[in-house]
Amino acid sequence: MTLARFIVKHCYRIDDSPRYKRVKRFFYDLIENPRSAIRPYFDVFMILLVLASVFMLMYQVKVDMGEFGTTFELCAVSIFLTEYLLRLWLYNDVHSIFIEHFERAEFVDKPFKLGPPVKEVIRKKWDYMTTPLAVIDLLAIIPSYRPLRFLRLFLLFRLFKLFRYARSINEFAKVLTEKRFEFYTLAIFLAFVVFTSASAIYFFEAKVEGGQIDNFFDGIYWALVTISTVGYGDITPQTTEGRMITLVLIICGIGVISFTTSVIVTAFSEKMNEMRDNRVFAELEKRKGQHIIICGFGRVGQVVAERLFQDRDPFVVIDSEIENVNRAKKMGYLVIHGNADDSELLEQAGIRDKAKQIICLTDSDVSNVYITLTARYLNPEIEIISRANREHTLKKLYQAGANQTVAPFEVVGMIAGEYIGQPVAFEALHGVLSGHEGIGLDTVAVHSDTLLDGTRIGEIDFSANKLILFGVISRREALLDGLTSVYELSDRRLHFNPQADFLLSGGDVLVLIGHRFSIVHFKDSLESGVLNG
Amino acid sequence: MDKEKIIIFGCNSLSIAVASELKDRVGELLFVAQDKACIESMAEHGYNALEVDYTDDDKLRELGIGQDVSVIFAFSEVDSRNVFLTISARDIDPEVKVIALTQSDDSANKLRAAGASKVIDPYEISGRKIYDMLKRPLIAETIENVVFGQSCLNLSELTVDKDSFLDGKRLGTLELSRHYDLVLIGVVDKELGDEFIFLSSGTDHKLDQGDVLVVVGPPEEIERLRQDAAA
Repeated sequence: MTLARFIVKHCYRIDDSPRYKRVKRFFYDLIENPRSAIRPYFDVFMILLVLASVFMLMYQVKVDMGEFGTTFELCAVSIFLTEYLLRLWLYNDVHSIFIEHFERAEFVDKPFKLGPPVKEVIRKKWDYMTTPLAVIDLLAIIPSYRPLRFLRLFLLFRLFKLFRYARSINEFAKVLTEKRFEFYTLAIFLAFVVFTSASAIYFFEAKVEGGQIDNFFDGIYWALVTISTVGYGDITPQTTEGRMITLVLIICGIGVISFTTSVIVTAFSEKMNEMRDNRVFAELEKRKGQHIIICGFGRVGQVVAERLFQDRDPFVVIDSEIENVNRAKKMGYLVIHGNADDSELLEQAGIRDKAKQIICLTDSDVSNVYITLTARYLNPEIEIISRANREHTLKKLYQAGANQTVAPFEVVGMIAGEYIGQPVAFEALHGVLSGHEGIGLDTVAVHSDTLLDGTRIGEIDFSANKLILFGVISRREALLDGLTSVYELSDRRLHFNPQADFLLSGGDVLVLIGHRFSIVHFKDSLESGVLNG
Repeated sequence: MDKEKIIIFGCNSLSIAVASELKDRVGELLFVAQDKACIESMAEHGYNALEVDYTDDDKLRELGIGQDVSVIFAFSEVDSRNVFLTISARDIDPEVKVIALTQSDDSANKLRAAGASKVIDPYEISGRKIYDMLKRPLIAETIENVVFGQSCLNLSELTVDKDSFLDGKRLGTLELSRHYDLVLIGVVDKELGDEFIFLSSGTDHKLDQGDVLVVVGPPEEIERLRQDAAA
């Protein structure tokens, strides 16, 4: 068997091996995958290792650490080396390149040669080795090799390795690179001013008796110290011409400093929202899903968010108006500033797998329909609740894929209608719906093998508990006793006004009207085993 | 209702919903707004719509406030307008009932201070409804059935007349839910004032002439109780 055939055979075996894939996957999760759970631990470990090794390096400048120092350095370097090799290995799959070339050769019926695939492998790996981060990694390792000791200073490159492990440093660098053009301009201007003034001062002062400028480098040094407004004062101009140049330079210096500051500040303020959003996404990532997305932070959204917040339920607000975003921020909610009909934004908010519900509450029906449609398209499973501001929209929302709808006008129309004919009933209805007096409908579940299981309705004294029994929701067949009416809910039945001999069983739910304290008290006494407490 | 004249201020989906709910039930319905386009479209739908400057008390008097207007709906989308309208209306006629719409808790208090008989916060109610859908789906479904459902359960009030079998009874001995398929939610006990009292407050009331019961149940059961009480 030729070498080529042997290698190809080997490549196929690797390609087929689940163990190989598992191992590679593990290392990918450990050091590359930004979303894996173990990556943060690895990052923290590496940060500590880098700091420790640099600290040792500093310490050893004056103190000899002896055996321990050498061993530690050896350990650190071997870990760095392993990491470097692992990253090189993870960068791409060598065997698939061989297989690809082999299959191509088979296909066109030409003899398979090792040359081209080897060349491609080397080229790909070289591509990786020349990326800035890989170069830094290498520079952090090489100086430890004894013949290259003179490169010890490069060990400080290890500090740059921190870029890899700390996300915030990364973002900082990214923000600054976006202002590349401004910095170029600034650098060119600075170089020009420094060079001109250095030449001028050299020209005027070099030959003056008692002058402090001896060579051109002194001029550059003096110009930079002056323009940066540091002004050590070790070199000062002695001639009037020299002083004139200094005056100009100082004024330029103020300009340069303020320009630099403003460039950096605007770079960050431009990026601030994005960075903040990233933090929100990271926070959502941490929550491991099950959150609720609220689109639109108007009055309705605020009420919903407030109640969810009280229950400590995770949710995120999306709103396009900065005023609303600020209000939500003030309340301490997670907010994303943006338009909720943007699919990318919704995806980042976790609509595909993380969120369990989405509520569309903007005051524009067009947006609500559009968001509903987008959400349904992105995730066919998610539960969508949408608000309709007009009657015609209700049907459209259901068509777009909403599970449930809410229509403020409907509520108002109904309540107002009630007020005209039946002002007292209106009072009851408004009380229950708005919950202002703390009175409302609530449920008490009957669990199997608890006190309520097997109890008859007549045995429970609701009025002593200051509760009104409204009905019982049950999965069982309708129990007809002639008086109680039964209504079909989606997957259960509501037995309205069940009579005294209605037998409760596990899985039933009592629907009660009462003050929420009464409900809590009732539940509490059930827990402690008292039926009519 | 005989001399009912109702004015709805404001032109938006909410006021239209109120109008369509009321149009067959009251004597006269008047729309007042400042938006020309809206007035035209309301007029096309067969409503009585007018453009009136609500800040002018004389104009308000011309509309009939202080004479035959019994209920005013202050349904503008701007809270300050509703407050102004409420104060003006209350000033002209201390008896008129003003139902005001509010956008926030804060202005709800102001509207009450201005003299609104009832303040409705549709957004809060909607918010609660959504919360129920999320956290207590059974409650949401029940309320949907009871309150918004077409045929199922109705909420209704019943005034106790003289000589009805209810007169003189104590609520504790009434056992309404055993004889009818109805659940008694609460009462207005005239001896204690006009306040609506939820039954769950726990006190026992003696029913007298003029007291009002609020019951929930299927329409035919409510009708049965009405008949029995009248006889």
